[in-house]
This record gives sequence, structure tokens and C-alpha cells, in this order.
Amino acid sequence: MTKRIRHQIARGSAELAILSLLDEQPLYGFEISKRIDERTSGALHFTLASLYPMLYDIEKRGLIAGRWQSNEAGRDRRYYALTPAGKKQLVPLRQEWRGFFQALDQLAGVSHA
Amino acid sequence: MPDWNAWVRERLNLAKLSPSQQDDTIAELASHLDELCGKYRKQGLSEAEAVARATHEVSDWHSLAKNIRRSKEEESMNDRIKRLWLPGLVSTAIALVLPILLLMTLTRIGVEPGRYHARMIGPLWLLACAFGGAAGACLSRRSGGTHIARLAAAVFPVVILVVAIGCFIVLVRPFGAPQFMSWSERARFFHMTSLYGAASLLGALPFLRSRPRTESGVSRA
Repeated sequence: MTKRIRHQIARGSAELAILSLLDEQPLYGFEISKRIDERTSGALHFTLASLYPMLYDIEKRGLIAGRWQSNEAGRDRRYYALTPAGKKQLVPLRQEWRGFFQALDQLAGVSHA
Repeated sequence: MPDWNAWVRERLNLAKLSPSQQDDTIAELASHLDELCGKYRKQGLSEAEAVARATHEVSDWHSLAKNIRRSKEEESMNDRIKRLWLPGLVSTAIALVLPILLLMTLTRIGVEPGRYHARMIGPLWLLACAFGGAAGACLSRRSGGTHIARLAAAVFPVVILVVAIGCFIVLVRPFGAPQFMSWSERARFFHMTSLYGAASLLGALPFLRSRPRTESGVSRA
């Protein structure tokens, strides 16, 4: 597997993870990385350096929108929410990954469930 | 705890971004580091250990700055084509083709060609500019174009006309050709194009209301 394909898979899975989380509720960067870490038991881990360029890129493409909000303690956080375009994008993205895992399962007996 | 804002600002060179983009990004990354540090402290690490571990999140600040700049930089060529050039060309095509189609329709339904048609070209082009402006602005908005992109797409045919005539006036002069347009003709041309420009803007007006998705999504509550 070339480095380029590995990079694309990593990037695609990270994008799916972020969009899926934001589909549930708006979250800020730290919370996004924390939840991904928790839900994948650390298999997917975002550092600050890997998370924010990706968030900004997805935002530039109009799939998510960031907005500063203060919590009760007066702390400013930038919450990201899925845009209608992001919701629309999530459906085929999920299908693509489902298809990808099914193909891998048939080929190499790697079940994703 | 260190002043994370100052700490990040010192290391992250985002010079190519606007000051507000720089401030927002630095504030966001500083807040992330602060929360991370707090998490490590709750896990029982000393302040020095927590700070050291948090700062390990970024091994190469130069590379991070480059990636952020690339992600945040203004629209790419592809975006520009979708938000400005393509809607502008559609607007121009409508402004050019619609009057011809309308004239052909008038002829088909029996309106006598000739003097009527000559009088109708102006109003029909006005109508076509309004439709073209609406289509251009609508397409630009659908692609996430800013207000300026939508306006530019709307007045695209008029701009092309002005530039073409302007170039012609400038280019024929060195060859000693007779004056292409007299001053009174130029004034008439200016009035005419202003009118067409206004019609295009009028058509674009309904599509200027809502903001594009990412134009100013950053707003502090």
C-alpha cells in the first residue's frame, strides 16, 4: 500500500469520525478529540496538530461551521456544527466506508463489526 | 500554568492569514492546550508534567502553521471557478442569448421585424441582464460565494462589454484609426452600461440576502 493511499484512508476515516460525531451535537475541538479517543478506545487518536488543520479544512469546504460560544464559567470555546451540506455528505460517506469494509471482509476476512 | 495564548502565538507563524483569523486560531489552540493540561492535572500529574505533556501535542510548529494556513487560506482556484467564473459565464450567456430568443419568439408570433425589433433590443437586453444577474448570483450563492462574488457574477456581462469597448478604444488609437466613438457616444455608452449594470444588480438582489455558509461563520457569542 503506497503512502498516498494510507494517507487518504487515514484522512477519510478521520473525516467520517468527525462528521459522525458532529451529526449528534455541536462540539468543540478538545471535546471532539476526547470523544473519538474514548469511543475508539484510543485506536483513533487526534493530537492538536492533526485535529485542527482537518477541522479548518472541513469547515472551508462548508461541511461544518464554527462558532464561538461561552459556557456558564465564561470560557470561550469554538463549537463546530454540521451544516446541511455536511449532513448531505455524511450519507454517501457512510455508504462508501460500509462498502469498503465489506470489500475488505470478502477479500481478507477482516470483519469491521 | 503558562499564558497559552502568548505561548502559541510565539510558536505559530500564521502571518499570511488575516489578523482576526490569526487571533481566532491562536485562541482556539490555546484553549485546547489549557483543557488538555487541566485533564492531565486531574489525572494526578504535577503542573510541570502536565504542561510538558500538553506541549508534546505538537512536535513541529512550522508544519502545523503550514497545514493551518493551507486549510484556512482563501478560496482555491476550483472554488473561485465555481463561485465567480462559472456563474459569471452563465450570466453572460443568458444576457446574450435571451434577447435573441425573445426576438425570435416575437417574429414567430407575428411581430413585424425591422423598426420594432430595433426599438426592442434595449428593453430586452435590460430584461436579459436582470435574469442573467439573478442566475449568476443564485449559482454563486449555491456554491458558497461571498456577497462580492455574487455581485461580480451578476454584473459579469456588463463588465465584459465595458472592458471590450475600453480595450478597443485604447488599441485603435496608436494605429491612427479614426476615432472609434465620439465623446457623446461614449457618454451614451456609459449611461447604457450603467442601466444594464443596475438591471443585473436588481436581478441579483434576492440572492444577496442570506449569508454563504463559511463566509463569516466565526462569530463570538
